[in-house]
Amino acid sequence: MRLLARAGSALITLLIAVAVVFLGVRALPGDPAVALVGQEGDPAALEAVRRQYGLDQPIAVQFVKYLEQIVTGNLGTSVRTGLPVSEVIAGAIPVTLELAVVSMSVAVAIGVTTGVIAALGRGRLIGRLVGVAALIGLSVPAFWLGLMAILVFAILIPILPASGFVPIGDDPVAHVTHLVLPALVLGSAFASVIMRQTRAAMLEALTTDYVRTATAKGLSRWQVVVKHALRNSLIVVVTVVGLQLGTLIAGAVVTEQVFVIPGFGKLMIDAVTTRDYPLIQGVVLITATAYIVINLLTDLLYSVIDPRVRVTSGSAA
Amino acid sequence: MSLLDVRDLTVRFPTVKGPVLAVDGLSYHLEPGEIVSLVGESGCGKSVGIQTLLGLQGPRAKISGSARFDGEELLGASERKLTSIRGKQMACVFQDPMSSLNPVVTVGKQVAEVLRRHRGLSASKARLRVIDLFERVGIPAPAQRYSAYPHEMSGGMRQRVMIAMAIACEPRLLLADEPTTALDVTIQAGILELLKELRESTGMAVLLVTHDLGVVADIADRVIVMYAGRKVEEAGVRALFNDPQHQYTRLLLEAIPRRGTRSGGEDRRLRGIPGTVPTLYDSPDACTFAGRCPIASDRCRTERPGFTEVVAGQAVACWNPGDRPTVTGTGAGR
Repeated sequence: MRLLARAGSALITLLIAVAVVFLGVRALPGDPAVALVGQEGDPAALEAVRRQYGLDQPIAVQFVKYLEQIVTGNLGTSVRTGLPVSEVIAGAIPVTLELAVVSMSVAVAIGVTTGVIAALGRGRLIGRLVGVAALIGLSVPAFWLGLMAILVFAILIPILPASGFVPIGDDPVAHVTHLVLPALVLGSAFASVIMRQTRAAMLEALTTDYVRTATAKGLSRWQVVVKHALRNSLIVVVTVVGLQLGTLIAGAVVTEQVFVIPGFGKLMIDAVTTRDYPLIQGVVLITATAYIVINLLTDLLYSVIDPRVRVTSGSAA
Repeated sequence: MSLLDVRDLTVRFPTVKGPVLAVDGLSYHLEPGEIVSLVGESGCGKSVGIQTLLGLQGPRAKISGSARFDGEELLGASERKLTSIRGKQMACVFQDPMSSLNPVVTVGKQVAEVLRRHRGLSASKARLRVIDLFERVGIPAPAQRYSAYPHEMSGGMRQRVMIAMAIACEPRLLLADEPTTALDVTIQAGILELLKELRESTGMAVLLVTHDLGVVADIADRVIVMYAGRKVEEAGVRALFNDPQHQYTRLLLEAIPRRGTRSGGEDRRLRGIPGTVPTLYDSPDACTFAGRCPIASDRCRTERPGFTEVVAGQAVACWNPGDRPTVTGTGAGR
């Protein structure tokens, strides 16, 4: 029941997102037909292109048509390439998704570990060092970090490729080596965010009564920290990861640009710079969907970690 | 040798205004199988006094003095030493069963942890033992309750879980920090009964911290009354209730609500003790209760009373032990 309600509100959110983008794109200056045919294009050719893509019709009609198409899984045809938008996006998504998942895994591993260390080492040198490192990770822009990473690991010490993407089917080893730098760069900022959230949650958890109980039981410090304090802190971490994962999918833009990875972020930039309306709409639609699905998943994950969220639980207090 | 021998325990907490003296030279001892109660108002240092025994007071506290458990020094003991005592030889039950259990771990697992840690039991053996323990502390349907989460249980049941956890390894000393304060009166009685029963069957000693003299009368053998971090009176429970020597003890007893009217027809209104426990930054050369005491003399304000035995088994830190205010009925305001 609760899930159904969440799904309903998710659909409405999605519809609003589609409408905003649809109108927003059309409010922008510039004519896609002109972009396609060229500045000095033949007026007849322009007209033909407009008719072909339905650009000559009223906006309301275009919107309803667009919605009809979405429902049938048809996201339209990319103005620039002439390929179906769904196909173009489907080609880019796995690349970005892999990058996002790998970066997020790196970020979680680093962020949670350092967050715990920072909390336990509060007031001591180690705690401060981790705090400073996190601040640096958070403040350094991705493009700069990316360029520095390329400079150091691809040029000064050439152990990793500077840019590009190799499909896993072509060469699995090259596939992985090409992912290392982008994943580290993309993950570093998120590691910082996760570290700070973990640290805050851990500091709070460590002062709770149940952690005192765990200590009074005679558990080792390690058991107290991992089994009792960390488990509760993870609730916060899951929220952050959920929120950030959406950002990661949409926000790999800079990293993909720097490392020349043919992913979703690059596609987005290309779509905007060429005023490829159908493609922009499709990209935003997918981004919004990704956010909403991730939020739903985060909600579900809560109930795995936090039993109090399991509303269907039979026994009552 | 006493089971627990605390000597001159002093605990300070640093604050922005300077170190606050939470416990000021507290000494007491506990024999095997004995139930001793530490009584006093909120903020008088009772809880801190027992949490320091197991090193649970947090890293900021400055502690001095000595606390020997079975001859071994606890204060300043290594973490390794403490983890081998905690939960095994000396266990704790805390005030608030709502927050003292981990909300995301089943209660059964939380109790099983103690057994796995100290007895090295396998998960399945620990589970059987926990179900036994649940039954023993009066939790109905113990096998089903094993996999319940704390939020699915009532306060009284959770406190029983805490007690099951505490007695799992049959400790020789149970530190009970206001174990019934957060519970309904009817539940309270059950928990106290359980503690008494466990004392009888296991021979463990209980150090019970409370502000509730009703609880003390019910269960304790001996009572230590604390005020502003100091011990002001110590006596057997009967002597203390019949003939309190310290004014603070007397006023505490008078503050217990009773129903109906006195034989003289005097209205029994609720009585309090005017004033509050002072926050101490230094140990004053005076009786700390002098400011609220109805019979305080100049001496009380300039000289700290020593702790002396007035009759066998009853000792007090007061310059005028056993005295009563000269004009009856003015001592306690409301």
